[in-house]
Amino acid sequence: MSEGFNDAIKKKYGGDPQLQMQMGSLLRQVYGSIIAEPVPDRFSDLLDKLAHAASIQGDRMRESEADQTGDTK
Amino acid sequence: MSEQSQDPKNALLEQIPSLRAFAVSLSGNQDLADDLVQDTLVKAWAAYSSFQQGTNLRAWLFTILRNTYFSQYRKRRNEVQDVDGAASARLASNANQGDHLDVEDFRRALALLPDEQREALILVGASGFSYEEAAAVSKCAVGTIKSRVNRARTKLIEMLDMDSSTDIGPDIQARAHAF
Repeated sequence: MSEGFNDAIKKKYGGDPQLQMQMGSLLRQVYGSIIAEPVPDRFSDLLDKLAHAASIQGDRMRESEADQTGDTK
Repeated sequence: MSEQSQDPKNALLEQIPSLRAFAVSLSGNQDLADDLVQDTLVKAWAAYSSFQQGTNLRAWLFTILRNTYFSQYRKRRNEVQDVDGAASARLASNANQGDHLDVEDFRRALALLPDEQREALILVGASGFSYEEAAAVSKCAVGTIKSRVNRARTKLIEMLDMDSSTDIGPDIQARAHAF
């Protein structure tokens, strides 16, 4: 074995700070490249629809409240 | 931050890049990831009144996303994985033939980790959560997160046959500093 016992332990448990730095860089590279992508339209469209549906629902609730409090014949 | 005063639409819109990065890293598949983000947004919208303003919105959304992934998507991912199985199998032999470690190799190695280990590594190593926050997102003990992160690192180093002399390339280092 050319590797010292401590090195082997460090390697086994991923404790080598140099390796951890390299791995951290790679991980942030993979992650960061996705963060940097523009948001696809499908998501802003979805949130628009949800917001629109909520505002219609809000209007209906106000209308039905008005119906109930209005004159009942 | 300005989260408290925002309407839900803008608050959620702001989090989409982070949600996509987490979803892609977790599922290893762009199409699954975007479906996963969509489901997360619909659920978050419906449950938004239960979100406590002033607390960490990103952590709240990540919790919804990972719960959705583990309850509904893990099976789908495994089906997709089987198709990609051959590509994954090539990793071990091809990963580090030169001294240059490719981002693609790393991405594939990451995808081969057990789900919980990959999740822990991403939360702590890329999303910038503390061990405590990551434990809250994953609904487990802090010690569990720590040991998952350690095991993930060990496995990646083994899979990629990394050692201190491995050259990850100047482009990667330069771009990594930007984040």
